[in-house]
Amino acid sequence: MAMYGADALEVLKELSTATRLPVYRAKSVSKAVDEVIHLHAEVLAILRERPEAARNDASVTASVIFHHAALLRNKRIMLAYHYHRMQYLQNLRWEVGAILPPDVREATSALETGFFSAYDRLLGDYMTEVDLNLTEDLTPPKDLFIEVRVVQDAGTIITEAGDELTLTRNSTHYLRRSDVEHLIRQGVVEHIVH
Amino acid sequence: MASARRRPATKRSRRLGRTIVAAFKRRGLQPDVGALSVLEALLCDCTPDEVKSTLHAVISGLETEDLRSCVLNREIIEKVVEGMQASSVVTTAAAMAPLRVVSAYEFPRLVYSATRETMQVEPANASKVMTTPQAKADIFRNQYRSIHSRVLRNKLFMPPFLHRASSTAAPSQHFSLTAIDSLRASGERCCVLGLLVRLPSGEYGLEDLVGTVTISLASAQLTSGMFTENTFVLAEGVMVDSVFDVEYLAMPPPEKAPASMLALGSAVDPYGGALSATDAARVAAAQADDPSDLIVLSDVWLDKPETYARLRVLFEGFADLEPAGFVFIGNFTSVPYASLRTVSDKPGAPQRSPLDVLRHYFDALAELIAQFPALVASSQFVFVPGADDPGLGRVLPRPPLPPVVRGKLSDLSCVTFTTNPCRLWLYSQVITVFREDLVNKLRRHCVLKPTTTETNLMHEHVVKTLVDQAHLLPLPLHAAPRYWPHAHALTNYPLPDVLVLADSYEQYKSAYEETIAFNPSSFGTDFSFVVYSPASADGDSNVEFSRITSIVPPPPVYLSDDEAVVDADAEESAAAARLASHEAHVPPATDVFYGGNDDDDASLTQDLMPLPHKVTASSTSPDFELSADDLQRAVQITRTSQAREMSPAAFEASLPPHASLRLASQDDFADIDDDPTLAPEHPALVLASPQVASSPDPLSASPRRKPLARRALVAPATSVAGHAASHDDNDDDQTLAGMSLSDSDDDDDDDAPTLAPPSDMAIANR
Repeated sequence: MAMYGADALEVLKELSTATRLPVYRAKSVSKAVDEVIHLHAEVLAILRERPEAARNDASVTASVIFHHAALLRNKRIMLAYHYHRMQYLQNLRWEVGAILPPDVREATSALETGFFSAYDRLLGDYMTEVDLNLTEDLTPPKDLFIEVRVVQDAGTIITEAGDELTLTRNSTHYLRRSDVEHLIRQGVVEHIVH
Repeated sequence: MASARRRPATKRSRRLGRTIVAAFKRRGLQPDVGALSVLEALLCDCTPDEVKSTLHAVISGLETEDLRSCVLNREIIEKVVEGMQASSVVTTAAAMAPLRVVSAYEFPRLVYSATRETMQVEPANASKVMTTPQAKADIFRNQYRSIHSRVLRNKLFMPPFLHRASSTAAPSQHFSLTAIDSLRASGERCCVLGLLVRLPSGEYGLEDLVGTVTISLASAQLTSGMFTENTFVLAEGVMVDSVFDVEYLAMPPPEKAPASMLALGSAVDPYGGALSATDAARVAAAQADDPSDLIVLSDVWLDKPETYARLRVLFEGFADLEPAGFVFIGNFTSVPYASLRTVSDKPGAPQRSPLDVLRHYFDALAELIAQFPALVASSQFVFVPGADDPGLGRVLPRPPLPPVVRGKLSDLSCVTFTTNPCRLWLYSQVITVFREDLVNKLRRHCVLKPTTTETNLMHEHVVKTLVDQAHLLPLPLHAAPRYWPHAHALTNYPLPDVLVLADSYEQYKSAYEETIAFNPSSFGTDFSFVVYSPASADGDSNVEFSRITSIVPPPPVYLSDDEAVVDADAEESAAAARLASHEAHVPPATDVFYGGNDDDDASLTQDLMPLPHKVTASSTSPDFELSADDLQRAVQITRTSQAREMSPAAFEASLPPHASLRLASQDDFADIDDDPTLAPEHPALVLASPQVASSPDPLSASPRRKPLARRALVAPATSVAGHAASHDDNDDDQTLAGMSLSDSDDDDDDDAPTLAPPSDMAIANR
């Protein structure tokens, strides 16, 4: 290892270049945390060994500041990494719904999955309270009715209006947009755009 | 284009349906027709407020389910609703019980996920027994990866950080693991993590995920622990030609449970049966307040009438204390159940099957338990089968006792039948219970003689092995067969708080890496058991060895000493008769007691020799102070009997064979119990050794019994025989079967059969 924070930087770079959510790097994260602990111990060791020099000798002061800066940098990278992933999951709740897509499910850590379901609960409770589905029509709809094609078999469902609707694969339906919007987001049906 | 069909429905039910669909849609979910009908049936009579709260509960219940699609079908909803209904009634009560049982089939499985580079917990899959061959390979692969990731987390294997040039602390030494297929290229000292195997060529080798290498163990230095076939080891050495010459062979470094939990992530439950956070907090509070004890008994031989009498004493003693539970561990018969006596005593009665006989015993036990309503109300009775109990061969994990033998026990609500191994939650502590003759089994499969540098106690090697290997039985599949899809039930990772290793070996307890391991020993042979008290706010957890020493029989009335002697004769022949009948039950007399805690090298060599299958000699705990109380009690009982003017001989002979052995040996120790160095000898040795007989002070005369294993002796029966014989000066020609077995080669100066009773001497000395 040539540089402090190299591991941490690596995972952050991976996150910024990825097109979909990359796997949570638990190992690198714990390594970065260990590094922070190590750096903290180093700073304390310098201050303990040469308390006078740390104040007066510029080279020792620089060493303390350097270690401290490396520590902060590690911490900042880790915070950025986790915050970014959290944001991604939050957006996913609005755009996709309560069920994580399989690839994201694979990529999240247990704590992140916990965060996602907790956020989902919070949002769901709020929407129940105000009795309004906030995730509907995130962009203003052009038509009330849309044509959709079923991508995967989903059995017979019932719309809010009380109509039965059998979703067999490759069948097409002309429906109220609000009835199937969540299914479009989950990829059960797709919107046919002419 | 398909068109939507309007459902025939009343206005009211349509409104309800709309409410339900809207509620689910807000969470991005969509119930299908089946699911909707279940919910409508559930909610049709509810007020709007109730509908709202119930829907909320159902949707919250869905969060714990592993949903794969946003369209919910009938099964998922039914499962959640059932779970809610069940949980509202049962779980709250069960969650409050101090003792909860998790069977091996409910253990979650830890699987290595290559994408996440960590171990993941996979929920239990109880249904499968037969699987693909892949499962067999996965047993060891998963274990390897689990240990590998654990080793890499260890400080010794972490690459060092940059160090200040002026830093006084030198960079700590660190190891890096080499994969086996790159060993030959490296050419220098390497450290390898691999599975110790016997190669087809007959030599020992190491195997990891990528390759195999032949090893030479000739110059290997060992750490403590038992290196059996199929243990995972860290080997350091160099390649010489195509053989890896091992210089150091070590157990992988252990990891304490909290560290493992941290690595697995806090949101998972690797043990199975964990409570929700609120329940867990309540249970922890109950534990901190005033925890009740757990009583562990192994080898509860229900075919022996005296067992019931002792159990009655046990129940009477604990009836007021409201213990959390009694764990009855098999075998439940002193002989394999199939060879139980099936002929009824009554002439003309139809012959019964062994299963009927066994059921009869459990009926009797159920009746005994039912006589203690306080215990029935407060305690759980957990039954863990042993290898000789009815079941499917010796494959692990062993299913619970079959319903056909449970008899009236299954009518009692406080009884749980579970698997071997199983886990118990005692408040917030995890206890793994495993019935296996581990010490002897591991010893029999050792590849190398365990080192005695750190400890010479065999059980400490065993406990270290199980903890370091994170496995309950690190043996090859042919020696310890397991069901492939359930092989994970034997893993010991993360470590439990307590390991109950029920073994026919002598009692022991040992603490290693914050895990307490103990062996309750055989209740069947010497009526010993263990009381485990979990840690409370006031004190630490405590393992206490106890024994029901004896039941004082109704004192017979003797008119004079002479008559007493005559009576003693009669009693003695009765004892001999008992002994004869007893010998029919115990395994053949070739059974030899090996001094497991002997510290000289010679006996260790012996230890590694093939062992007979059963060691039935009863023994004291190596930790002698523990039984000091019992000892006092035993002495007091003897004194009481003297006070009642009953001759000690008659009294002792009137006891069952084992009890009388126990009494004698304890009496014997009573003189020397202030000298702990002498204490941990096997009492039976004292009784049967001719040297002892010739010396006034038996133990000081032979401070170091060297060839312990060879001299060894003999079933408890022999010592009883010698003991009984002593009471009338050996006039009878008591050539009892066992006596001729006691090897008297190295004591030529004494005639073998003149065994003086230490207990008599002890009494005389006083």
